[in-house]
Amino acid sequence: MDNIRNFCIIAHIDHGKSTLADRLLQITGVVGDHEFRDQMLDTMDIERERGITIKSQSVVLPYTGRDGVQYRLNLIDTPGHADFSYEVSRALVACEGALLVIDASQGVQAQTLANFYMALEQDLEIIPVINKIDLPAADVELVKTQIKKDLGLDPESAVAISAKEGVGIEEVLEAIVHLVPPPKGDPAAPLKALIFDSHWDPYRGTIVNLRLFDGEVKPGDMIRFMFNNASYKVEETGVFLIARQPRPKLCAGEVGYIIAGIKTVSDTRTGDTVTLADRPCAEALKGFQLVKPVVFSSFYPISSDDYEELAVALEKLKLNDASLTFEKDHSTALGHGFRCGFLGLLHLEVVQERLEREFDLSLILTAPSVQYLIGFKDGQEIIIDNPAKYPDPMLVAYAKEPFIRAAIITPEQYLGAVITLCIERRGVQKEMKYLDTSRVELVFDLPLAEVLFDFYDRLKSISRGYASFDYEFLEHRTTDLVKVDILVATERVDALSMLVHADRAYSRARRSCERLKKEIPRQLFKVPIQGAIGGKIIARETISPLRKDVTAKCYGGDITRKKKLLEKQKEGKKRMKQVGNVSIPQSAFLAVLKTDEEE
Amino acid sequence: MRDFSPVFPREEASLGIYVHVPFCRTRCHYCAFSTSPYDVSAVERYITAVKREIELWSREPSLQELLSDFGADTLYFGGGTPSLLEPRQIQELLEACQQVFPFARNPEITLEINPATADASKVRGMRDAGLNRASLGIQSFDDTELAAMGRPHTVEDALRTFDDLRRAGFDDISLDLIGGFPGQTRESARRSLRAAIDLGPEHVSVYLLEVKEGSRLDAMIRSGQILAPDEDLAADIYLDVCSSLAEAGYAQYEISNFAPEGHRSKHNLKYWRDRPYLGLGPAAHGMTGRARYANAADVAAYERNVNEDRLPAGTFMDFTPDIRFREALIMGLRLVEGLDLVKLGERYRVDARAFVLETIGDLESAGLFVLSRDHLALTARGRLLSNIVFTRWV
Ligand SMILES: Nc1nc2c(ncn2[C@@H]2O[C@H](COP(=O)(O)OP(=O)(O)O)[C@@H](O)[C@H]2O)c(=O)[nH]1
Ligand code: SF4
Repeated sequence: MDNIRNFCIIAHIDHGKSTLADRLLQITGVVGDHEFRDQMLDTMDIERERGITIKSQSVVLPYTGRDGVQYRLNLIDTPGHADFSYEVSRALVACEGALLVIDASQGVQAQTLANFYMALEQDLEIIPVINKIDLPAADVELVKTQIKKDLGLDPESAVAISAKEGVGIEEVLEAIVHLVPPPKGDPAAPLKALIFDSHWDPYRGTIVNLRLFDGEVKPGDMIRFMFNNASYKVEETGVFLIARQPRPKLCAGEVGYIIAGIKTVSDTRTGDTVTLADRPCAEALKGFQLVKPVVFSSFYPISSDDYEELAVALEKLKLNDASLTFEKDHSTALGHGFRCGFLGLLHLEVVQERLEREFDLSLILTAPSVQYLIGFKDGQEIIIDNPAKYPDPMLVAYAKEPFIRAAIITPEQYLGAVITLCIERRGVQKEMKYLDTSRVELVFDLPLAEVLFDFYDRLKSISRGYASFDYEFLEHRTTDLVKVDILVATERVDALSMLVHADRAYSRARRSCERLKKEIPRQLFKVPIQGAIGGKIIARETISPLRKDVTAKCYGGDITRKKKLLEKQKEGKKRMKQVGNVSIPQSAFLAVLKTDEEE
Repeated sequence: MRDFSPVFPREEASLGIYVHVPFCRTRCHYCAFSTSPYDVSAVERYITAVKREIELWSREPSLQELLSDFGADTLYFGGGTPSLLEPRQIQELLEACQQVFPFARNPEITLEINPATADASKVRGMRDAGLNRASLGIQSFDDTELAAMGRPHTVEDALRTFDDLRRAGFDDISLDLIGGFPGQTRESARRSLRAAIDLGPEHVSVYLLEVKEGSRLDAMIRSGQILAPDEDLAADIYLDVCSSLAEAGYAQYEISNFAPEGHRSKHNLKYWRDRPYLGLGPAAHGMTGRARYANAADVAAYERNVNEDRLPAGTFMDFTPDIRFREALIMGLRLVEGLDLVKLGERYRVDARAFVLETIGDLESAGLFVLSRDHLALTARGRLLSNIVFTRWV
């Protein structure tokens, strides 16, 4: 156990976390120089492109220290987005230390701080790593001052490196060996292990990534998941060297995986504790939460023939993503689909992209919604996340919407803009304090619905990326909720309905109508597009009828070309949804979801 | 593919022959055609190759059979710019055709002419070679518009060529105009049309602009250099054109074509009336009754084929009765006179009326067509929106 070090890398985006991880894999010989970059910790294309890590994974780096001792360094990768903050916190629990990477030309930034605080909360040994010292704009001394002042860490412990050029990587390894404490724990005690990740393998079932705190586990053991008491017999234990490496057993302090023929992904929850069925530990590790989806949207296949395929695809995604929920849904306009629940909008987008890319599906999404609490006059209460389920307003006594408490840290010069943004979003200021002369921490209570959409992006853009943001759920609070319907050619399109705060109803309705007008191609007849609350029209646009759609000439009897054009036109039509008499393209549904800034 | 044999369905019509001349001096902005730059030796090679292709066709028994029963009665030199050829070269091609294809008496022999590519003596030479119909690509009577289209000639050039044609004895002249080009207004379109009518041609074609993928115009619109054409304006211009030409005695007989009875393009009617035609030259299309084919578009590939004694058809598509029936509908409905559904149904052994009702019945209320017991025709609105109807049949 003394030779084990469990650590993670945390950083502000683009400061070089992935590049450093690559270097560590390379220098410890886990990946050869040739396969470099192809393998890496996060394997999904979409994560690659978006520069985010969603599924955390781990890898063992074998390292012989300058002291001649052979160490096993377990690198645990962490997700890098606020939607997944719970997953990040669980991954941190699995470690004793963290490398905090800071760009030498940028210095300490918002996410540096946010990540730093999270690591501090878990009592991790934090090693500052000053990266990109090869850059002409690198200012190592300045960054050291910030490390002392902003983070309160000893600047002398910082390692200066260039991940790109491979400078100082060994020093990083030495720092891990000497500064990060070896894991503590009792190998003889009953098994107590933390699930920090799991993923699905079509041949082996669920692969559970664990950090063992006490005890040991080996093939043949009966294990138990403490949150639901499900038991399984362990088939294989091992560690990750990028690929799985079976090992006869895993012991206290180690990081590795188990395979136990687990077919139901919902049994393995991040943050849950695994123990032995016949010799359970006294109590579970603290901090386990069942992550619940907070934003909901319906997914419909453009072609109703693809419904079955969508069902299969969602099942498959769910195997790797316990936080994704879905159930059957039906829309008059769009037919059969699924109501899906997500941890946040990024999660939604990732799922959508994977469905479209990996499963080749064309989808229509409805406007994302949070969960509202509706109280009836007869005293009953229901929860709805789907505008289609909104009851007759005459029967409704009150509605409540979810609120969050947001902590925002911003440099002082952006304070005004940040406060304005929060107030625009119906926020209520709770607290404001100066962390030092230049940085301010703001606490606001905000409706989740207002934060979900583009709040984070707006915050980043008005603060040039410097403001950091973190939130926790508060409660449902009374709100003035209305349902806005969209009518196309006087027919209500249920999939376009949305639940919004009354103050927002007019502008949202107007914007939706304008966007639909832009996206829906002209039809044979005039098409009015209306926004309505109940029977009252609050916005209106009109698409004038199509007048010309004609091929003028067939050169020299070239009918083939003409037919090809007609076929193309017909294909295009197939990608549209027929709603009543009107063909609505997928792009129209997407346009309605877009935020103002994307215009 | 080469089968002209009259078993399916029975053809009782003379053949049309189309010769494609792929050369242009410059490229018009709206053009996405494969054209080759004009050069003297390339043209000589081309003439030799087309003559070989004609020779190859002469060895096709099924074509010979069809020809011996019905002969050929139209010949059309299209392009590209056929008027870049010398009269002697046109004559060579014409004679090669005449040797192999038995022509009916008084065949219609058309030459497409671009203004400023043929002077008075060349035009006379063309007439002497045996051409009796000219189709003059004027496109607009406004020099600014011509420049915007990338046409390499002026209005004055066009007027001179028209004059030369008349002097040379051409008494069957068609003028081509383009409607709906960016920058064109309803007013300027009216002026062009007036000028065209004042010349007194026998036939007028007005083509509404299509922005073709790959054309310079398409690129200019995408890059924002010029505004995309206004479709409503194009529709207005088209309706103006139809009524002004009708008033001037040019009855509309097809979506884009206008002429008094007796001056309609016999050759083009073959396309619309589901009749077979032979296409010669690179990128030419033909219809044998049993199949459609397209010759290799690339001039070099075309020449290689014929030099190796192969017909140069690069692609072809065999008809099934169903495919041919649908094409006959699509092409035939372009004619103002419409289609005799009973005859068409007999020809392809289908209940044409039932098919029409099933496929486009829902559009009837939109006023795109009139359907009686045995007849189907597009309305004026339907002609402008004809693709809506036609997409139902591909
Ligand atoms: N010049 C320089 N660039 C680096 C260095 N390390 C990383 N980068 C670049 O910084 C960018 C972000 O790095 P990446 O590892 O993807 O950052 P992450 O978002 O923290 O994972 C990439 O373009 C890297 O090539 C370094 O040491 N020097
Ligand atoms: S003359 Fe015809 S073929 Fe030649 S470039 Fe112009 S449009 Fe194209």
